[in-house]
Amino acid sequence: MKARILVVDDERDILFLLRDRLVGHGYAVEVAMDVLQAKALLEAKKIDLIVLDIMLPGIDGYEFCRELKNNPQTKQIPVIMLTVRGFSEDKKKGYAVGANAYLTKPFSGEKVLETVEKLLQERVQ
Amino acid sequence: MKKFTEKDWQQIVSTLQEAVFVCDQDHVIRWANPKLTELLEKPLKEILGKKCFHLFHAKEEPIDNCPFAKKGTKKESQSMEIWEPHLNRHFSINTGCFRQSGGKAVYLVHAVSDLTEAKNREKELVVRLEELEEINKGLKKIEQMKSDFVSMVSHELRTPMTVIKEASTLLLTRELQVEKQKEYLQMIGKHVSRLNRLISDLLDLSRIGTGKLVLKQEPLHVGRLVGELSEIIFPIMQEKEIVFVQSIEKDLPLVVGDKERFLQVVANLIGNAIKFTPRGGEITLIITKEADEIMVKVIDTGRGLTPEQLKHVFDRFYIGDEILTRASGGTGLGLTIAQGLVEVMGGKIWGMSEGEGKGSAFAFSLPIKGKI
Repeated sequence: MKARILVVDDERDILFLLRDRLVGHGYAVEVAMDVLQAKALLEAKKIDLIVLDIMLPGIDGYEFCRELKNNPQTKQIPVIMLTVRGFSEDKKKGYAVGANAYLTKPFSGEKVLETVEKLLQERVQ
Repeated sequence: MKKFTEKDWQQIVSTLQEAVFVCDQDHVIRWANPKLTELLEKPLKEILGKKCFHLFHAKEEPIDNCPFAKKGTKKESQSMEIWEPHLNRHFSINTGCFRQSGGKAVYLVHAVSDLTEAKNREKELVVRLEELEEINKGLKKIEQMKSDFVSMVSHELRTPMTVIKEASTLLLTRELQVEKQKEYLQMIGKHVSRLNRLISDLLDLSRIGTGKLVLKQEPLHVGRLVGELSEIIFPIMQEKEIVFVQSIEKDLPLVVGDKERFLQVVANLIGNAIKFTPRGGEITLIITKEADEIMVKVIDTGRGLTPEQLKHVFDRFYIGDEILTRASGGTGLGLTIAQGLVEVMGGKIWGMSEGEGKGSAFAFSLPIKGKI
């Protein structure tokens, strides 16, 4: 069965590009422009992995990731942070709130795919 | 060496920088050197025989920490600092007891140094230090703002770059349908324009900041000019179902200014109003003549501003609500630039809001005669 990936980013074009890239590799993709939308999708569908931007309107990506990792129902879902925030302290903070991978924008689509595959593999094992 | 005579001793005490005087146990001044006459600005005859607490401390009785305050107390030596308001001076007083040889009487010797200048300098130093601390705080704040600004700019650069990079990679590496190819190319075009807008904004900001902005001085029909914006504004308003109300006074006098820059300011204010007004809201444009100025006012029914946001909304480097600014596609520099442009044209710009959720109004005025 194909894995279902939730992409959260407030930049519509980035959402579309990531969706195209992931759908092209056989994944099912859900998109959300903020955390509220993302939460609604998590309730409604079984999500296998989340690609998460940090700077989002309202609740930011760090906070959302912390919530996900503190919730027994969602803590096993791998989270890839995908952000323009490239400083090492940002990255540290990302891992501190439980991110499984931290990638910076502009991203390489190939690298995003590789990371998605790797994390899903690890999950299976 | 010859023994010092009485006269020598007098001279020795006269050379001291301190004012020296001697009181008996009844606080009567029995002897004083010339320095005390300078200090009290009185001749010696008005000093000798007077009570020291009257003359020196301007009190009706001995001060509490006078070593002779209580009969029989004989502290050998004592130092104190005292502020004498009646003389407007700050003193350091060193006292010591002295018993006349062969007699029973005990005297109190006072050596008084005037600390007023030193104290004033100290006070001034404290004030200067506080000023420096203020300046330092300000500089640190500017430093922080600069660093925030650089982060913001790099963020604003990276987002369109991300889209351009990924869209072009997909175009190059995938077999795509023509429709999809078109979609990606349009996306690239859109984000190149966004980058271009950011660069223009940054250049404007820099030119305004360094005073290098050159404006045309041409007569402007303000009322008619606004019509030139409708082509850009109307479609966006229609899409958001915003009601646009215009109230432009008839027979407005000409103002002198730069047409493009004037339109840029109006477009910025209306653009902001559109961004922050929800679907179905209302935007009002009012242009009136007020005394010797033309006033342009844009009122929206949007989310409004908190007093704190309002205070900083024009600040250079200020990003009130970064998330919102970004989500709405702005660079966060528009109002700063608008303010710069209006001021270079000799006008003023200001914002008003009754608070969050209560809409906001931005207005600017331009002098009718222009700034020549």
